[in-house]
This record gives sequence, C-alpha cells and structure tokens, in this order.
Amino acid sequence: MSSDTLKSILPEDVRGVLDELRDELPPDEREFVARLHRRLAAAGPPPPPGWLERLGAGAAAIWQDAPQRRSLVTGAVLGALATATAFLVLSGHPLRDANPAASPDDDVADVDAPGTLDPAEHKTLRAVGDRRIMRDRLGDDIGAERAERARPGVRGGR
Amino acid sequence: MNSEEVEDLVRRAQQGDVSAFERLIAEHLPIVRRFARAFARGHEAAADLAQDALLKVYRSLGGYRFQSSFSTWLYAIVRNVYLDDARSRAGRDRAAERPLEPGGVDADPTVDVDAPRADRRLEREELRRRVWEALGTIPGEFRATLVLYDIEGLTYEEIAAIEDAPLGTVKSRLSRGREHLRRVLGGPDATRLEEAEVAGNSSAADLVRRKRTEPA
Repeated sequence: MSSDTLKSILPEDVRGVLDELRDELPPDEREFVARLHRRLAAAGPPPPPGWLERLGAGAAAIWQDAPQRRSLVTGAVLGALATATAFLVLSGHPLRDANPAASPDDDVADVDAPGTLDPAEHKTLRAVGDRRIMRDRLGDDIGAERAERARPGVRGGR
Repeated sequence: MNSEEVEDLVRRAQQGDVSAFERLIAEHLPIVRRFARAFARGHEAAADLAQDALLKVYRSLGGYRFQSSFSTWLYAIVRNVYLDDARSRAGRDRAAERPLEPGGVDADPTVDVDAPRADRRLEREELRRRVWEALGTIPGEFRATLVLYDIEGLTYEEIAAIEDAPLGTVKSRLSRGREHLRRVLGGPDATRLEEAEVAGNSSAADLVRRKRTEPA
C-alpha cells in the first residue's frame, strides 16, 4: 500500500494541516535552550556504560554485524553445553538425588520409599540425617554396627 | 554536518562537553519538540517532556557505539521516553479524561468557527488545534509513527530503524494511526464503507456514502 493511498483516508484539510505542522516552530526556543543548558551542566558528564551494557553491546555487535558469526556463536554455545553435559555424565556425578525407590533391596530404599512412612515422619528422618543405612555400597550388612554406636546427647546411651 | 564531525562531537560530549552535545542536537531540536507536542498537553508540558528526553539522551551517550546513525539513536531514545511518559500518564489521567467521541474534539469557545465571516486563518488555527488534540488520543505507538511520517516526513526505513520494527509493522501502525485520527476528527466512515464493500453489499456501501454527503 503506497503512502498516498494510506494518507487518502484522511480528509484533505487534515492532510494539509499535517503538512503545515512540519513548519511549525515551537515557541520560546531561547528559553528552552537556556534551560536545557543549565540542566545538562548540572547533570555532569554522561556515565560510562556498565559491564552489562558493554557485554550486551558486544553481543549485539556480534549478532548484527555478520550473519556468518551468528552460526559461529550459536555453535560455540551449543558445543559448550554439550561438552559440559558429557563431562557430567562421564564423571558419574549425579544430576540429581538418586531415586531410592529404584533399588528395592536396599534398606534405605525401604525407609525412604513413598508410602512406607507417613510424610511427616519421612521429613523428620531426612531432616536430621538419620537415614538408617544398614548396608554399605558392596552390600555388606553394617546395620548392627551402626545400631551399637553411641549417639551424643541421647539419654541412656552406653 | 558530516559523519566525522558528528563522531568528534559525540566523543567530546561523551567526555562531558555540554556545548558539543548542544551542537549535536541543535538540528534535531525542532523535531524533538514537535514530537513532544503530540505526547503532551500544551506547549509547556511538551517543553518539559522534550527536556527530559534530551537529558536522557545525554545521560545515555556513554552507551552510543556508532552502530546506527546518531539521529536514529537519538529519536529512538526520545520516542521511548515519550511512550513511557504516555503510558505512565495514561493510568493517572484515564479517570479524569473526558471521553472523546468521533468528531467530538470541542471547539474553542473563543473561536466562532461557524460564523459566516470567520477568518480563514482562524479556521485553520482551530483545525490545527483539533489535530494536535486528536493526535493526543491516538495510542502511543501509532501516534509516534504517524508524527514521524506524516508530520516530520521521515521515510519508512528511517522509522523502522528508530522503532526497531519491520517495515510492515511501521506501515500498519501508520495506517491504524491515520484511521484513528480520521475517526476522532469525524471524517468519513471509511471502516464501515470498506466493510460494506468487502461484503459485496453495494447498497449498504452506497448508503454509507450517501450518509456522508448528506448535510447535517
């Protein structure tokens, strides 16, 4: 749609006025400039951009300047993410808490399994860290030893 | 002013040289002030708004990286200041504002435009006043585009750069701004006419046309 077609929806006299407004000079120009000068002088020099603005400007420059750089940047970001994920997986670092319910033979799993304890009791046990581990990682029973260990502050211990 | 000169002035202004900044903005002052006029009620409020916008431009000068022309960057900031001001004022004023009916921009009681001997100049002045007032009722984004294109004579490309929007969006905003202006000023009911014609209802379209031409 051409601008003339668009403009033709306005009445002719309004179109004329819009054209005239372009030549309209705002009043009190001297006063305006003088007041602006005072305010600019009072404002001091413009602050330098902060690190975030500089980073944003740099990123925007890379993003806008050359389209071929965009794919480079996108590739680098995706590559870094993939590498980080691969390292996490290969190092065996759990991405989140292991699900105890996944190993039903484990006593810990029995204690923590949903439905074994009511929610309040479950929360309390987890909160004090009193997870009664009965077996070590190799599956040896350590429950008996643990039961005999004295606990400080517990009345009647030892 | 050539680009080297602008660059030199910008660098000096970034160091706090107020006179360099004033030289930079001197040629843009009339546009900034007229632009403000469309976002404020009266000359004084417009002057205050323009001052605030220019002060914001000065404070933001440290972030200007010569990635766009200085004028585009300046008008983008000015436009944002005006739009922000319009948005913040809109909520406060909504309750106090009188509803503006189509064709309902009140005539100045001191100007008797219906008098047969009404001066042509006075009529023109009155129309100007009505246009400024009507501009103030257009939604901010449409208003900015309309002012920049229809009053200041910027190109679609320049406005697209200022508004950081595609050309199609600029054209759409301009079209909607003009439609709003025409409706507020009580022009011909183009929407109803178009609707009738699109629907193939020529008799309805004729009716709208006849209604337009009938004397009140």
